[in-house]
Amino acid sequence: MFENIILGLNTIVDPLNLVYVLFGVTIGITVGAMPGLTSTMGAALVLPFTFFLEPIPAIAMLSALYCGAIYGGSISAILINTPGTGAAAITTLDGYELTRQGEAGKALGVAVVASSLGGLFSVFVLMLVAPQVAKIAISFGAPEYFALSFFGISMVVNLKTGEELKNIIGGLFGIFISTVGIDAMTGYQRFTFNNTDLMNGISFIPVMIGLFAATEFYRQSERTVARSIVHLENISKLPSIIEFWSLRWTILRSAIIGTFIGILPAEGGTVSSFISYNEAKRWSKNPEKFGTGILEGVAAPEAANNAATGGAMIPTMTLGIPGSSTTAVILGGLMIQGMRPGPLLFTSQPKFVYSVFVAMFIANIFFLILGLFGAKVFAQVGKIPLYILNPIILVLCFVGSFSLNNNVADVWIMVIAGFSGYFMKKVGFSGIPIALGMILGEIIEVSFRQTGTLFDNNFAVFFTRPYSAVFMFLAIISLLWPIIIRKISLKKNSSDV
Amino acid sequence: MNKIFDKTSIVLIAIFIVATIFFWLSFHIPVLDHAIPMYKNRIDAGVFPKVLTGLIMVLSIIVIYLDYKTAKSGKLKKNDIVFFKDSETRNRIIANFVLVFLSAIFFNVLGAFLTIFFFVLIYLWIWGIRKLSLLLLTPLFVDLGIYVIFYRLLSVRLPKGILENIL
Repeated sequence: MFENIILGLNTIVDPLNLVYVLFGVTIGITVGAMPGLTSTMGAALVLPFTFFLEPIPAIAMLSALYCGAIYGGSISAILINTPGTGAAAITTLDGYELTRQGEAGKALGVAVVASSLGGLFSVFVLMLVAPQVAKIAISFGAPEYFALSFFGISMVVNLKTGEELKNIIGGLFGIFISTVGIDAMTGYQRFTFNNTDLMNGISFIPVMIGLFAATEFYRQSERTVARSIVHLENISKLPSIIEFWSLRWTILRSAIIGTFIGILPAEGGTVSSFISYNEAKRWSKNPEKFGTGILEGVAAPEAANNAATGGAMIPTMTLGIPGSSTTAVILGGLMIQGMRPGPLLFTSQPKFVYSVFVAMFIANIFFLILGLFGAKVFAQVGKIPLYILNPIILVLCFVGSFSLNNNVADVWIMVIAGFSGYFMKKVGFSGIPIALGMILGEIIEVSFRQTGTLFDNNFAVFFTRPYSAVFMFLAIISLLWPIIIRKISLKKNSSDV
Repeated sequence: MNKIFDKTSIVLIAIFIVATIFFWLSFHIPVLDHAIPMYKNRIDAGVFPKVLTGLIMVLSIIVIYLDYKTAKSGKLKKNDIVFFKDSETRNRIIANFVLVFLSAIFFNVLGAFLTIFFFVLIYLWIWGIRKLSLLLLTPLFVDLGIYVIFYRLLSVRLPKGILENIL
């Protein structure tokens, strides 16, 4: 493993690769700091630029953007009470309160240090755990891949409480979209309507750009405030070393929680930041002070949401199952580069895999430096008027979709995905299940049908082989989780009465 | 609110209709001849689409029914029914939809650069910008940025449309 890390380090320290990592981090922080623009959207917009790069700089840049954007979300959360990304939503509680008390610098300082430490911890775990997972996964056959993908898609149920059925519909819809085109196992056309553009299926990239970027264009167009008010008082006043030291256990606990939750397919930074905040409050000597402007309230969610980035890369790289919506876009970028994410990637492309890991490590250091010395500059992006920003986003959606295959059909796919995504989001659907369904759809269908062919249509095999049985069991638990939780809370309520 | 359907139901009815159409189309996907030994255990290409669209139909009906029950109990709020908070927002979004659709249509015909120019210009106009310098310079700079980054640096062959002989 160490020789592979050295190999990755040697590749990434190439000045040009470092420039791409720095570029990714800078774009990430900028996107993250803009209210409403998510890390997924940033990755979707930058994705077309990576078509023209070699695999290592392309994925290193996207991964660096991911790290930077998750940190960047805290800047607007702290300064303007509007989280730049969903993962920073809970940072507003104490972060903005500190800004109101004239302690914006302290809040920003804690946010960047906690984010960086959380991120570094998770990349360390990623380097340690991912190769072991890949070693196990190399023995997987069709039943295991089906069970694993089924588990991955089942996780969407728990994305948003109260919207479980919609999450399932979204996931099914995503899998359905992946069936369009020529069937890989029989050669028959499915829903192509003899249109040559549909023969190879519906491209994943324009759908992602439509769902995550064009949808946001419409949502931002609803806003009537052209620009946000940014508080920049005392922005350079950082916390003292003693204040930082007092946060060490909060940061470590949150980093562990964030990394673990990040590993779970489809669960990203948002869930981990909320859980870490609650845990920090539970463990704190002053839980009543949470929400009144306490540094722990900033450190906990920020360490957790950045720790989720490394965690989310574990299933993405080892199994081809995205750990979050942004890693779903990164996965799309990998596929465009001709890479098939999965255990074989670790044996066939160790240089690539470890270069990406090292790039993420360096990205966490880069944004620490940029955040400590340049938060004031990034804070200014919140001032860019929406009427300038919005059309640029859509123009990038158009040009980005077109540049995939130099084909207007992809532009239309993006337009339709954006239009549908906007209305679906209005009624509580999320783009993540659809994206996950599209990515996992092919593996789910092909592995299921291969299992049928190999085992004489005896599908009990999913429950008789050890690994597949474990994944099927986890999938069933995941699907039933909302019901279990409801039953537990009902029981708790009745016993309280 | 005495409405029977909220906005969720309206979107789900649309999803149900789309799923039904594709469920029906799934039955038109050719099937393998399972009498041939090598195809004996093969699952047909239409099975997955049928199962998926069928499940979407069933789940859509369940959600519509649950929403209908909420609507009947009179628990619907204004926000559950209307898609837009006011008529001004609605008009702006509709104008944006039309603008995006027209841009997609004209992307090949007029060419990417002219389409982008007019798209940005009209978008600013819809937003209520009337300052001539902003209206003209913003689309010009966006076009310039796209030209330099995508057309020159990344060599993306963006459609030139009626500017074919100029660019």
